[in-house]
Amino acid sequence: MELLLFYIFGGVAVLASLGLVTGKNPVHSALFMVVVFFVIAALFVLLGAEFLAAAQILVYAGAIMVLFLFVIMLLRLQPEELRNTSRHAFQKFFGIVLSLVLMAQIALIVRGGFFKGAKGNYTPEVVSGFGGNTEAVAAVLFTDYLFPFELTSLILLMAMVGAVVLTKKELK
Amino acid sequence: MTPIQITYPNMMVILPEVVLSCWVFFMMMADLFIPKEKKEINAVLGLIGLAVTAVSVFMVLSYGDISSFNDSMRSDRFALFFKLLFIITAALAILISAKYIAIEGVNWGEYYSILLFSVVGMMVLVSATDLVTVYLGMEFMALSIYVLTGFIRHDVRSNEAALKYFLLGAFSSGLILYGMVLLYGVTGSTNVYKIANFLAANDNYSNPLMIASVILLISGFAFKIAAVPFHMWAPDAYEGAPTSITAFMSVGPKAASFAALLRVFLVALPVMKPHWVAIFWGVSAISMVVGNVVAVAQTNIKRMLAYSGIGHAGYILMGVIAGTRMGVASVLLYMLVYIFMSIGAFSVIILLRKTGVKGDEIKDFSGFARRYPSLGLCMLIFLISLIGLPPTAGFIGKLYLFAAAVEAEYYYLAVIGVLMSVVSLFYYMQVAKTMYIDEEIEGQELVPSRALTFVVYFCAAATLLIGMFPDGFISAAMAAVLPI
Amino acid sequence: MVTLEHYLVLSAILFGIGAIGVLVRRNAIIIFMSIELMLNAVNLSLVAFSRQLNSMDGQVFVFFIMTVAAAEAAIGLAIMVSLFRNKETLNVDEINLMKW
Repeated sequence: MELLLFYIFGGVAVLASLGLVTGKNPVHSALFMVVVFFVIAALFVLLGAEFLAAAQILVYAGAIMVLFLFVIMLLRLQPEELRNTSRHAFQKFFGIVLSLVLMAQIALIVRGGFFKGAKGNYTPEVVSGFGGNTEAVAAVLFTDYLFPFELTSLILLMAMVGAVVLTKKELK
Repeated sequence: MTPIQITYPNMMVILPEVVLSCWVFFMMMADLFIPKEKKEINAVLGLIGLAVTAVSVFMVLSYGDISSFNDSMRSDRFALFFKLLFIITAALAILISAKYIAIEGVNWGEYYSILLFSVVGMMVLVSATDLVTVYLGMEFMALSIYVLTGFIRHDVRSNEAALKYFLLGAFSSGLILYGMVLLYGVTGSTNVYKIANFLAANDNYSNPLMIASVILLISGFAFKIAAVPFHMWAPDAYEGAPTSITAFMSVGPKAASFAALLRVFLVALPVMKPHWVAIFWGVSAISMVVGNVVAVAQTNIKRMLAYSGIGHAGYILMGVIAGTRMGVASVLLYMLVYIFMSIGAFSVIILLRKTGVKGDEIKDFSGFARRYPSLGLCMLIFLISLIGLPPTAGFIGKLYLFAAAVEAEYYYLAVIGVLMSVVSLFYYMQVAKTMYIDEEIEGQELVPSRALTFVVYFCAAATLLIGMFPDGFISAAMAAVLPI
Repeated sequence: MVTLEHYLVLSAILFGIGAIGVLVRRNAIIIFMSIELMLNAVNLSLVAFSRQLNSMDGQVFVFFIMTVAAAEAAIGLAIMVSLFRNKETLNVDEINLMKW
């Protein structure tokens, strides 16, 4: 059952992301991207990360996607012509190298046995002892990762100020 | 459910960051009450904030090496050395900005707040000992710089520079992130010390996923330090950005990225050294060649300095490749030296900027030194230092880098470095020739700013001082070396 | 049984599609969307590793990546809006006052 769901969601994710990068109209790409976000949220649920699944939908599908659509509408972007010539010979080269590295990596992953990393303490039993995934994430987030958590608030503040400075019509 | 137990962290570790961020909040609010004609007050406030932060850095220094926040942040002499460098860089950048952004018509208080926020990001980055904090610090720094690059929002060149820098920077963050994920997957931790311990205890030397991770991390870091083959953003971003920001980003983010690179590769991945040295060797050699050779063909001085910066990234990588105490110390020393010569050279370019005239073509410098002998002499000092000739700081810096490479037996790399320094003689001296020999041209009035001329003289003095009395600076750099 | 390898292969495929999108597309918005796709692929690997390793670090890392992605989107789109005001295009081939 889990395997079937994985293949359904994974297949949809791959197809939608292909649609994203090949779509001519930015609006279509954006909609494909919403699909990708949703199936990835579904995969998070399969992996037992319910909190992140919710955050994925709220932050990505909710906030980031709306921002994208807003900008696309605001700028009235025209569909671009798809041409096969690459921008730059280097980029073609780099793209090929990168894809080869990834292909090799995929082949290796399938062979398996490379992940003998140190196991952590958060076994499923411990997580349910906390009261669920969300509580377990919180327990780590507000203790071990307290400083990065506070730091993200600064990043968001800076991003807000920066976005306003770059786009506001009249600054005093 | 069990209540979360929060242990009280040692706040001294992040004291400079906290002080500076609080000061930025204050500046943002103060900006609301500063009238439009007096926005220079923001610059003064920024300088005061940096001075206070510098005091806090010296306070933390007396605590020795301390780690906190579950070992995700570490305050050691290595980090504090870099933090002081960023404070100096930011102070010089603010001094050269005050008049310049008024000329560009973007005299807003947010400029200073975002500049200081990027300094906070760099400070986090150099203290970070966990992949999460490395990533967040790097993004904080980079996002602030994207905004500053596009700050002249009515100028298409500035917009384009910001867009290119942004897209390529975000792409490179994706690569770094994938490398970090593989590292986490193989070792089961994001902490650099735990990663190092795991790799020391378990043989993963020829694990292909580790090699893939190293390749991805190097690609991402090469973007950040503008090394070939990931350098193409640099000339455009340098040319289009406000010149004061070009001066800042030619030094600050580069130094911060080098610091993070040293921490990740020397502390977390010493076991993988033969792999990453092989890749860095190539990156360093190509960067030196491409940067210096392409610079010869440039007519815009900001682009020329961008390519020369790519070459310098190649020189500095020699210290990383050597990986010895001497190598790391020479990287630190060169970053210090690079601040003064790079910011000095960009300040001279800003001096020529006035409404209607960009002043960033090499031909705009015709006869500059004959018209303004003392400023011309300063520019000559910066050029000589960038070439790496005595008696300037650039000579000392390069000497140590080459010595580190030779000591670690990377002879070919040192030879390429020396040859390329000879090539650089050619294009730097072309600027000097334009300044001293070519006919004087109209419209070379200077920006009337005492702060700006002060920075030029100060940087020239510092370049000469470090060049002639390097002992104190060398021992400071040696004392700040990472424990390897 | 769905293993770690299943998720990693899916993640590598998505990352590759995203990276190729960045390298071949011309529309700045679509390039940026491809970058978001790459980040999502990374997130998927992280969560898969996190389950495999019984460690919460990966999930917390994803949380931070999401936050940064939101900040990045705000700034990136602001840069695009300010460029579009002056230039009326987001095609990176036409953005060629300077060499691309």
